[in-house]
Amino acid sequence: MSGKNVIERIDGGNSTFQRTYGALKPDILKEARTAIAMLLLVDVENPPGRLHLHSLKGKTVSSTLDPSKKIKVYTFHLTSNDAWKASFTLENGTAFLRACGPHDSIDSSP
Amino acid sequence: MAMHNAVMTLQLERADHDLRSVERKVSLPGWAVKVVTWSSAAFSAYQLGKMARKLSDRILDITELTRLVEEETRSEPIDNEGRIGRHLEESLDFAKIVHGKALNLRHLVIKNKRSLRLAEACDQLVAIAAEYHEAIARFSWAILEHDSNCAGRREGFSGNTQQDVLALLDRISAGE
Repeated sequence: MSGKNVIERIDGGNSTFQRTYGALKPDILKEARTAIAMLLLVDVENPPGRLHLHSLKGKTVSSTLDPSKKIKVYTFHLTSNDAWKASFTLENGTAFLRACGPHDSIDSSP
Repeated sequence: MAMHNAVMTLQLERADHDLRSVERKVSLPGWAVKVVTWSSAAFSAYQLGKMARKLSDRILDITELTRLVEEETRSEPIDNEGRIGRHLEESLDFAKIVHGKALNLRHLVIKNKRSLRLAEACDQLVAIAAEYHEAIARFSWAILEHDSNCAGRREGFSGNTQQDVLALLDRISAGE
């Protein structure tokens, strides 16, 4: 299993990721922990539907390995109610986690 | 960014104030809806429309702030302590409450077969509350992505098996 689109390693060293992940409420944290671990061996071009994983169109961020480069950023859902998501970049098979935060859309039938 | 931080705080306080004012006005119990809509449906619809327009002005302010953050090129974090993030999270919760209450009010107005104009005003407020939520969430992500670009890194938080990943996440949530 190898390829530039497959997540072979997960890195949570980014301090913004650590701050935002650490600030999640316990019930959200439980789901988020499972969702992040599920990223391993996922092909970002053909991800399982339940993660709602996709790259952000028209948006690039600094590369972790070479900050002078701008690269694609991906997001996926952390919770089953779609209220929280996280972002990461994929470089040489490593998903560098960037931040956890709220989802844009409101539940239209609360 | 210091100036932008002041603008951000002021705009968010204004947005909060407007949102709370809207929330108070859409929190009518069923009997009050009957009385209000019987006596002054047109006036209530006008008031709800006015509140929706005020919130839509706030959406424009927040969208402009988002643009400023996205264009910010300095390498200093905007929200190092997470203070703005916590404020935005409260605003998101409040937008959800206003959205839910406006939906409920619309349901009561229709159930009681009251003013069509009032039901339309509720529809408008529901849509504006949803857009407000979206604008706040986008603003929140603009700050997160900016801060993530200039964030420091800590070694030793990497894994290539599920057990390793779960363990590193547990260390983060434990505050290591």
